[in-house]
Amino acid sequence: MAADAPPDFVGDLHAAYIKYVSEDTEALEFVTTDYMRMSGVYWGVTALRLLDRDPAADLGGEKLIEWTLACQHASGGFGGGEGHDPHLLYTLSALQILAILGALDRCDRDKAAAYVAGLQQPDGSFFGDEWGEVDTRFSYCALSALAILGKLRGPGAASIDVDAAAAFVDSCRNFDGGYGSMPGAESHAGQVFCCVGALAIAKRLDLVRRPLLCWWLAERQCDSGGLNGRPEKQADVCYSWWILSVMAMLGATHWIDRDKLADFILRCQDAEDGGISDRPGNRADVFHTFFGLGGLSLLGWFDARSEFTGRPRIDAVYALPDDVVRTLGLESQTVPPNSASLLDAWAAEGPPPPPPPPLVE
Amino acid sequence: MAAFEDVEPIPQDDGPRPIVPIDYPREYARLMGVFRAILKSGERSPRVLELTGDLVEHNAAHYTVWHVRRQCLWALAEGDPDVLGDEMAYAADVARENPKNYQIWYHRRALVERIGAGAAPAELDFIAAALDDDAKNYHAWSHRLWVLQTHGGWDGEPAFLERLLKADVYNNSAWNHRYQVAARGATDATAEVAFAVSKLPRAAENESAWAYALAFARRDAAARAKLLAHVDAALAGS
Repeated sequence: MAADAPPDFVGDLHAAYIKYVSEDTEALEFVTTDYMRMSGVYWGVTALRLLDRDPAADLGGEKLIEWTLACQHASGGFGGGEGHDPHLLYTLSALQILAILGALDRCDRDKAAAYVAGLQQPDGSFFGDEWGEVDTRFSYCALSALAILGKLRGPGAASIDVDAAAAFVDSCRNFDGGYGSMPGAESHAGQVFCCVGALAIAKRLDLVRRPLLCWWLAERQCDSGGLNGRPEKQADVCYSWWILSVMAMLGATHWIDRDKLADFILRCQDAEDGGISDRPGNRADVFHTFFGLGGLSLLGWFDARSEFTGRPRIDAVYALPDDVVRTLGLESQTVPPNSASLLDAWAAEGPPPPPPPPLVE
Repeated sequence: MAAFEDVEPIPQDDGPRPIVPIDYPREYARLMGVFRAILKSGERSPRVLELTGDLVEHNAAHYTVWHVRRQCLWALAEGDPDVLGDEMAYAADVARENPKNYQIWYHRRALVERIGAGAAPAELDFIAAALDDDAKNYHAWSHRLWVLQTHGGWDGEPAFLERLLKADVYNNSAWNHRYQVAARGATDATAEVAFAVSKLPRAAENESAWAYALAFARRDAAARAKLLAHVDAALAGS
């Protein structure tokens, strides 16, 4: 059976889609997502950079910066939109936006760092906000935010315990090598990204069970070529990011079928109106547009095509354009690309560590 | 809204050149105007509690609305013990309609934290009902784990899991939960491998069962022998 050629990449339509979505303020979806607008703006701004465009020109840089700054509270944290309480999730998104737009110095950096550091708990975990929800997503947000602020290490570092942060993430590692939202919670690709990303920033990848985890991650690839987030769930383009970025951090992207994944992402494009959706034929949104583009970037899909060379690549750890990562001097630990097979890597790992002690009543 | 006649709503102010001007559907806009005034005044009262309920109906993901709701509830609960119980019923309705919403699951946890251990058995029942609707709901499973870790009640889990795995032997969430149950106290690793491989003949591609068996086989020689015996038999038969 002859394979259908994958659809063309419609980058110009994606750029137009992002601009359209940012201006379609009467759409119900726009209205009801105002509590997370900060993340939406981050996805749009970063996606535009991956399309080799200037988000300041496309969306109005100064207005965006002013809006972002207006969301910073006295505590130093940022809310998801104006009038929304501060939260770690949106603090990270805000700092990412400001970093890309070259405006980090215009926010109160010391207060932002103090807000983040103040959320760490004795067991190394982080609250999402003053209400006390704990989730490994917040471990990633905290470490990344502090790194972007230049306050993770060295003189002027915020007072957090990076070792304790890493230890808490490690306590969320499961029997299948994956990670959940809290100790014992099911392994889930999104949480795996947050945990391995946090460990990469903390430079503690020694805590990762690399062959076991990468086997689990590689098993996420479905017949369609797309990746799912947990065993027996459906493929979704966003996992092209959550899974692929972890495999990139761990030097393991060659353990999936990269061509099939690229084809899947391309088939999730809306060829008429632009944007990328969770799976072929569904409605596009900015979230999936960003993660689909990020996936293509990590696959080296743009690098392999002369018409796309020279554009920024996405950094697997910080989910920022790589030129921003270089400018800010953001550090992380990663495993370089290599050609070792999964079985060879597993054999080289040595005997498994002892099982964790039984949970105490 | 007659209850807020004394409150001057604050319209959305996006500045002279709005960057992301928000044109709300009219009712939501009206409610948000009142809400912004309440945020400014700091009022927490029965009528504000009702306001947050109206807003949640329009947008259950608006986390600041949930914060204000809880502040009202905690204040009202001091004088009226029924407030939290009533809120559990209300929260159950919201969770049924918005099962994948982070805020409502955190809200239930905050309520159980406030009420205490007495709320735990009913909470496990509630979560079981949510899992009947969607057996893989991540929020429901991690909430269940939290209730069990905080208030116990693990004894009912084996029967609960048997029912779920019978319904869908591929349910990875159930396999993970079984591991959490097994990890408490001494486990018979060989028995756990035996259980996992017993599920494979009808579902040889069952990733969850394999990962489960592998976890026990990796650290216990007898369990490892049992798994290898199964694999050898399967290969010999193929």
